[in-house]
Amino acid sequence: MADLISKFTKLSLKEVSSAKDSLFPELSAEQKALSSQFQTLSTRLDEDESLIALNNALRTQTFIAGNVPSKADLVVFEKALPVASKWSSTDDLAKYRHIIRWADLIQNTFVEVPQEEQLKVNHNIELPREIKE
Amino acid sequence: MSLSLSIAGKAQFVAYPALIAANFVNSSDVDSSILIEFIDDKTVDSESNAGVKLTTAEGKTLTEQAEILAYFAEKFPGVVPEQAKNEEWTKFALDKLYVKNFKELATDLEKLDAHLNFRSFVLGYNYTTADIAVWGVLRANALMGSILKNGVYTNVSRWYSLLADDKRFESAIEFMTKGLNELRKASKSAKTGGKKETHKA
Repeated sequence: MADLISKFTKLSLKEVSSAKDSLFPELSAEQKALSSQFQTLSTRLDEDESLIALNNALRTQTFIAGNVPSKADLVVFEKALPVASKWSSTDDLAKYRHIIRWADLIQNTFVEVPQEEQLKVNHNIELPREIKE
Repeated sequence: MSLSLSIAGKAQFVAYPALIAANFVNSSDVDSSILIEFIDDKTVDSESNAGVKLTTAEGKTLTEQAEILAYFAEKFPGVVPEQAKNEEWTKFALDKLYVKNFKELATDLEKLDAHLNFRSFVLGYNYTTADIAVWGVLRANALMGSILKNGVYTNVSRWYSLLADDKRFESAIEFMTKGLNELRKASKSAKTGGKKETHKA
């Protein structure tokens, strides 16, 4: 994966929908299921329920399909970026911290976002620690 | 160019970071490899107190992991990637995270967990020696197994599992376990007069 990231030529937002799956490693059946589940969910990111599901998934895995990047990261990122750009209160940043962490990774590895549209992330902001229930 | 790394399997602080960094080099396509030797003891040789030793291409001997990681990063740029500010986290890992005192460890894990709130890697957007150092030290710390399994530090657990899934990390540890087991078998058979052990039916 380290090599994939360092050699990847970033795609523009316009190229995301036509990107080929073969740009990424082949997925297992379970990873494929996660990939399609979250691509479907990304059409409903106006619902808080969807955002919470996405945030929960990204709490325990670095990418959408697990510990491996896939086209789903690009597709979901395109939909999530405008939504995430509106979060500014500490409460929102804490609530959706995992989406922000992941979106920042994607815009710095696989997708080229124009400066003014990029998600602005202050990496050092202090948030209350999440306590497992 | 000949490089050799010796690691003591029973050292107080097992040198997993140096081992993983060497594995990065050996599994890359660079035209050199590092000879890795395991020693089933607390130190790499009787003269030194060191748990790890690298003999460099220039014939120098390094016994500090921070120096060994820095040497690999300098010698194999791109393979063992380094970034500015790496040293701070490498030092943090080597100085703080080997600790077997749960209370002390918890304070530093909280710091790491907070650092990983908005970060997928320790520094930047890909592996660096800082990831290798922190992961290797945590892997060597016996307290970590249950902490990670229980997901007490959610961000640490997520980051740790990403690296564990990379074959260059966990497989380096398996390689060492296997190497030490073979040494133990060999020394056992030497003690019994060189006879091979036979399985009793």
